[in-house]
Amino acid sequence: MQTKTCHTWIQLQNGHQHALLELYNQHYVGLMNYGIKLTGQRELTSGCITQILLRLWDNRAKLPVVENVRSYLLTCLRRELMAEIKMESNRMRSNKLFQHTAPQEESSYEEYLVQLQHSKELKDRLTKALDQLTQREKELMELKFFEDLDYDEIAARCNITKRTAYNIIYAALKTLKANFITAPIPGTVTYNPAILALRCCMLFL
Amino acid sequence: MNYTEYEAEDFILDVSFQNYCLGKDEKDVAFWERWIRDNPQKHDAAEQAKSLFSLLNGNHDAAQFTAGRNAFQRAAEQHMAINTPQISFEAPVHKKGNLRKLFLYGATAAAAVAAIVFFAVRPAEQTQTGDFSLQYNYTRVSKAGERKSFQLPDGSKVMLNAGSTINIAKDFNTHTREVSLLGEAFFDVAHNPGKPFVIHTSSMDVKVLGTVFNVKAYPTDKLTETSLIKGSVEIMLHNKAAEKILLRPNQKIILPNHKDDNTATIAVKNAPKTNVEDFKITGLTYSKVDSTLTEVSWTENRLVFNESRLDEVAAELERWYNITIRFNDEQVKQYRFTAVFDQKNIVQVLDALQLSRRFEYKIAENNNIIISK
Repeated sequence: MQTKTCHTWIQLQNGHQHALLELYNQHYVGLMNYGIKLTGQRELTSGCITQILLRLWDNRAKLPVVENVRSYLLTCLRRELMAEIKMESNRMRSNKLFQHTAPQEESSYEEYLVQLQHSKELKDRLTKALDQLTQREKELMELKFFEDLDYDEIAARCNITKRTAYNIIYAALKTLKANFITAPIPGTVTYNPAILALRCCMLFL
Repeated sequence: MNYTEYEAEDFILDVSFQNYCLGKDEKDVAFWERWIRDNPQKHDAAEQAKSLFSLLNGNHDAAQFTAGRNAFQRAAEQHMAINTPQISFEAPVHKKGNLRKLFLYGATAAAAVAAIVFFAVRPAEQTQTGDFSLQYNYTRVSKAGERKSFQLPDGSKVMLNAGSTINIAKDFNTHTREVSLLGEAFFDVAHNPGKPFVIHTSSMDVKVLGTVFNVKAYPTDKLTETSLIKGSVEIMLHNKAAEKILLRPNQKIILPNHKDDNTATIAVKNAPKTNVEDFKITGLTYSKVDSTLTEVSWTENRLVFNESRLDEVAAELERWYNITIRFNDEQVKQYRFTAVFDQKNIVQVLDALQLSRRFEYKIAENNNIIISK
């Protein structure tokens, strides 16, 4: 992902138009989740992502050489969101109607996932299922799925090997599936060591 | 790869399967749709994987992702169409574009230039034809709430906004190409330096050699403006015939129609001062919401307001929806709104505006709307 997105960045600098859509594809989930968590506003975040990417396009000739495209984009997004929110709050001063939409308190990954569930039943079930995971598992799930990092980045961030990262996430997924989605069916083998080994091998290909 | 041994957790960690879940990659989507159809025994596991994946990534799924990406493509297309002029023209109704295709053609269209020109003719008696000494033999009219697209004899394309009239000169395309306009139109002018293209309105003429632009000349509006996206146009103000003004890309010229009307100066705040006092040159406006260019949003069927006064908004709505709007209060006219509406009806528009700044409206008979504080 890192090398791929660096390549896309260079293509953007060289004026390849498809690189812009490619950047959107590569970073959408990570940027969206970052922005939503920061501001609590989905529409605003999506609008700001569009704006920063189009600005990158306009400035493509002047873009710096970027080692970590992802953090560069996150910084752009944060600045853009902050500027928008400042403007919004200036506007809101004359309008009490909107004050309840002020940025919310930041919630943890698990709390956020639970908030997203529609029914109380699902919320309860998910809370219980997430409680079965260790702190480490939850942390890695967040990096993998919510921040949309690849194993290289996770390994570097957590100071573990890629294999360890993969194993922790895989185990967490199994636990979560068993507790949240499927009622355990006696006798079925859900753990398949052959596949796990195979997947681990693929990881290092 | 033998996926038949896969369980939900294996699917989730498969990058190609993730691409399928988000609708990121057409090939992956096609592959997994087919694979799941061919392996019904794995249907449940795949479904579990899909829902777990969405749960963990913060509720992103294919429907949501592709909707966002399509909107982004649209914004990028419009943005790049402005920078590398390739403005889709066929349908006045919004057309879903293809960014890749645009990219391919965008470069080849580099020779074309784009300009937008907005006019608002002062509501004086000269506005009809008195100012235009040319003879016209061909007229196209669009009623309020209606838009028309057509081609001129030289191959130039025109999109006429609601409540507008365009007259084509009798000798159009013999030595020159001259038209007159009341209302607003978007032009894609065929390149031909030998036959200059001139648009006459009551307060200014615009001369172009080959360009894409938009002319707004509604008799009821307070401002006359010409906005240029790309290329160059030459403006001749009728009250300063000797002076020709050359616009640079991304600039617009704004001319108040009444000297005593101070709203014009309010509307062009931040505009750089020019040496002639009664017009201003300023930059074009990009929508805060989606970075599209406000000046041409009507060609995409989008109604856009950027810090616009409510009386300006009302004038736009009257034409757009073929209604009349009256004000029972002077102060409320000064309220300013920034908004983008995509295919909304008049009630939805007014209700949304009300949320931003409180005002009252009621719908009387004959599509009459009365706005009060």
